[in-house]
Amino acid sequence: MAFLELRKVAKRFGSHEVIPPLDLAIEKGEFVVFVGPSGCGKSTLMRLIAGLEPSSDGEIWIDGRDVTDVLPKDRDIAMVFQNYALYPDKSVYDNMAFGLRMRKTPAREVDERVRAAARVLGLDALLERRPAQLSGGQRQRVAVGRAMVREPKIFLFDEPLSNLDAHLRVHMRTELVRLHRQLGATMIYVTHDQVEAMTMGDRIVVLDHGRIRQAGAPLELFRRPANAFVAGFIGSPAMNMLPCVVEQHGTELRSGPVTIPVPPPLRAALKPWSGKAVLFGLRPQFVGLAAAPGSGTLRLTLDAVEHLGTETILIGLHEGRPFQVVVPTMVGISAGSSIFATLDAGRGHVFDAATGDLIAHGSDVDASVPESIAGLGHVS
Amino acid sequence: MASTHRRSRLDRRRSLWPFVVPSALIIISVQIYPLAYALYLSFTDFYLGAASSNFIGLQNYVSLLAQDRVWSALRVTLSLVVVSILIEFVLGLLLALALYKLVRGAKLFSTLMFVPYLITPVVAALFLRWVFASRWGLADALIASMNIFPPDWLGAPSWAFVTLVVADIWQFTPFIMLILFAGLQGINPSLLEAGRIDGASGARLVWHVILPALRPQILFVLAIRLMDAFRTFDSIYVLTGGGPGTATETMTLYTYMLAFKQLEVGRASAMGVLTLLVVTGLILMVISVVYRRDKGAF
Amino acid sequence: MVRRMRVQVLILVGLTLFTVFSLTPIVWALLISIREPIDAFSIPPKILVEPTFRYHVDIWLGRGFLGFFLNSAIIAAGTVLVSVPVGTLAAYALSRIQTRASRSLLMSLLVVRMFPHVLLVIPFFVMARSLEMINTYPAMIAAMVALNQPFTVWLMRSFFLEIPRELDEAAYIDGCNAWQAFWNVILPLARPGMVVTSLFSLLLAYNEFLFALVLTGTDTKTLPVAIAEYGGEDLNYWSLSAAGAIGIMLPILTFMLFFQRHLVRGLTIGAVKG
Ligand SMILES: Nc1ncnc2c1ncn2[C@@H]1O[C@H](COP(=O)(O)OP(=O)(O)O)[C@@H](O)[C@H]1O
Ligand SMILES: [Mg+2]
Repeated sequence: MAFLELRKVAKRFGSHEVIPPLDLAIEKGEFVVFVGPSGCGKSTLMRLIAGLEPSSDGEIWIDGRDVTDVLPKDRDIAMVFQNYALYPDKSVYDNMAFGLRMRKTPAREVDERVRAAARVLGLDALLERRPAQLSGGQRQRVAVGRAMVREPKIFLFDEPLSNLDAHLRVHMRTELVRLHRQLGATMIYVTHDQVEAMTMGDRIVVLDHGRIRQAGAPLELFRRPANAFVAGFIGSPAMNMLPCVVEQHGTELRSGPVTIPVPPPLRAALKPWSGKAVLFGLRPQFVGLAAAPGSGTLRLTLDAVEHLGTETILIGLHEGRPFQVVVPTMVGISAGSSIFATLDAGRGHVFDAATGDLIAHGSDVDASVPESIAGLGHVS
Repeated sequence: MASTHRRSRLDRRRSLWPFVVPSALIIISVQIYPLAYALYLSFTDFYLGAASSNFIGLQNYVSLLAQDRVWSALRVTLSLVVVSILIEFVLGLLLALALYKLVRGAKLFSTLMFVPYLITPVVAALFLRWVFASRWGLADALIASMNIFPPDWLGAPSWAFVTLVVADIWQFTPFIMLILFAGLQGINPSLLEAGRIDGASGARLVWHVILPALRPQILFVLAIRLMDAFRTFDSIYVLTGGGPGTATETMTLYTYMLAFKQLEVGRASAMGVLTLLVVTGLILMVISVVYRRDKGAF
Repeated sequence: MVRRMRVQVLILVGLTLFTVFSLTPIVWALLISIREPIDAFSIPPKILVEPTFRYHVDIWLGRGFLGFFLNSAIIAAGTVLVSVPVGTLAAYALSRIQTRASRSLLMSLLVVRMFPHVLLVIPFFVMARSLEMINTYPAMIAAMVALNQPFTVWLMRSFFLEIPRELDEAAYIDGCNAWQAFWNVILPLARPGMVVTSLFSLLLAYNEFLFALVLTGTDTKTLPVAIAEYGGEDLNYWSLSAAGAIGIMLPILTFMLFFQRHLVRGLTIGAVKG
């Protein structure tokens, strides 16, 4: 049995079903990230685990105990809130000590644990301060400290970094991951930011409308998305989705004026889809540039060019959908230019256009390095 | 399929409702129960000092509605309420706009003007009494020093009415002013800018932009003032006592007289219930007027 | 520019006029209270005379107003001690529960506030009389709590609404049950709100006239009733009762200086006048 198990857990607010019945198992020591667009039910799911919200259905088990109807205080979990929820009238020390004192921990042990956590988090000098006298980053650390001293079975983080500036956010990201390694604790982390999810999680659970769309290791999700939603949500910039029709018994994909030859390993999978509408997904990293049009090249007129320094993102429109290309830093190309894009179809994914379900991955999706860019020329 | 809500210890409602119990008990025992009792009394011929009382149905109501004194009290109440509130509202709005426009010193002015509202109503009424008292009052002294013969502020029926209106204005305009001023400060300045760019100015800006934006505050002050003006007791009791005769006797005052001077508690309760009905009707009317949403302007 | 100046001047004049209108009766009463009647009512009015505080001393010490003040204070304090804690509890729950039931409860509190007091005072009198509680503090305190409770609940609730719910939830997770979260975490944060609510309730009870007139007697008479009885006396008593009236007003002015910041909230929620 897993350390945390949700069995057919559902949540309705009145008649509005936010979480349809859902199963999830999390192992001891895992760092699991819930990710999904805002409003998809991440916080609700976390609050169900915390016991802050009663579930409408199903069971929740923690460490072999059915906690479905157990109060938050008796679940042995700790939570870090988005706005930190520090007690404004208590000092940093008392904020961290409060949970232990409520549990009648001996004063000496309280003191030891608070000071130990403060040391780890670099809060030693701030223990007498009030939350109002702290910076955003410091408050965040106090909130983490308050959870830490309790040595709970599970740590819950609900978008804990979203109130920090970009620089601090990146810093705290690594801090939290380090903390996880140090404590070996089980952590569940909620975010709507897929970059955060990819960089922090041992395992990512992608949610959409309260449903788990896919759960797995970051690279697995990146390489083998189970549906168009995950494919589009994970990875930045987002995967290109070309609406296509399968032709020639699965040997060609026609997308508007462009015909994309299907690599032989995929053909068998596409054969039954002949004549049907599919989405061909291809990450912008796997699109190259050609000097001249050829078979399967896409002519794009660029709406925007984003120079990121390390790379350049070219943004155009194909069949009414944005189409992006990531190329090494490139000067002398600007919005309004036309380019020819070559598609590395072996790296692509094919989804059912109607349901978004996966039909097949390309044969080369597990290759780790993007292949060299075919050509750097462009026409204008 | 399980029901939408299964009973759970986690349901916050279950742990929090007990917090409401003491308050609910208090409200039931000192508000609801007495009011129900008053309603019951209104159907009896309860007379203070009598050994027993009988249930007489609607008889109190019937005989009250047949009394000229009741209709006169209704007339006095309505005219007092309507005249005072109208003047107070216009004055209060003008003052609020003035405070809003004032570059500096709004705080000082609003504090000073607010004093009459906070004073103990009886004391406030006494203050006015010393102003309007015949011969020795301030008003008479000032008027007499200009060699004009002063009116009998409290003794002549129409002047007594005027005095009561002035008293109400004096005490309650600050309330309207302060609430509307607070509302004005909450209006998004860009709204006013937009109005100004559209060419609205002065009165048109007030009418088409400010008043609609203040609608919640206006509804609030009117509703509160209606409720309070209807039950004004202290100042009338002290200033005119309903007199001369019953010229300024309001429904509240007559209810009081019935209960505590004539000891007709049953009939007084019926009178109180009638008052409640009139207030409720008026407040519903105000709400429906202020919330005429179909009109573009106020 | 010139036009703006002119507008400002106009506004200043208007506000000054109304301020004079607002303050004149008070200043006039003050003047009466510190002058001998013979000076106070000379025509034309004499402004410059040696002030005397004889009447102020006399009304409080010689005429028993100190005792009436004590009655007022006991009733006001009793009202606050019952109404505020009980109202605070309910307000907390009603700030955290947001269901149709809680909303209709809040609305019904507003409706209760709307009832004419004169309708409420009748059953109170009849009941107090049959319980032989006329002229006792508890009867008057019960009445004041009745008038006060809806206001207390609404005002305290507005303070609780400003405290983020996440604090309750953090407390739950830190090991509190509902009561402990309220007592250890939320209530300390609501203390300023309780002070403000207490003061407004104090003021309401202190100012009350109708109920005091009906329910109190010689042993429990409050200041408003006492001063109203004095106000009607002949000219020679004017200085005395003016001194009393001014004295009754003073605590309120002090109150106002301290609580200006919260005034609008107090007014919007219940208004000070009951
Ligand atoms: N207490 C509630 N009552 C009704 N609807 C709620 C409540 N809490 C959340 N919801 C709804 O549930 C959905 C998921 O909310 P939430 O879990 O906060 O999303 P996320 O954290 O992923 O942004 C939203 O549509 C939200 O409106
Ligand atoms: Mg959320």
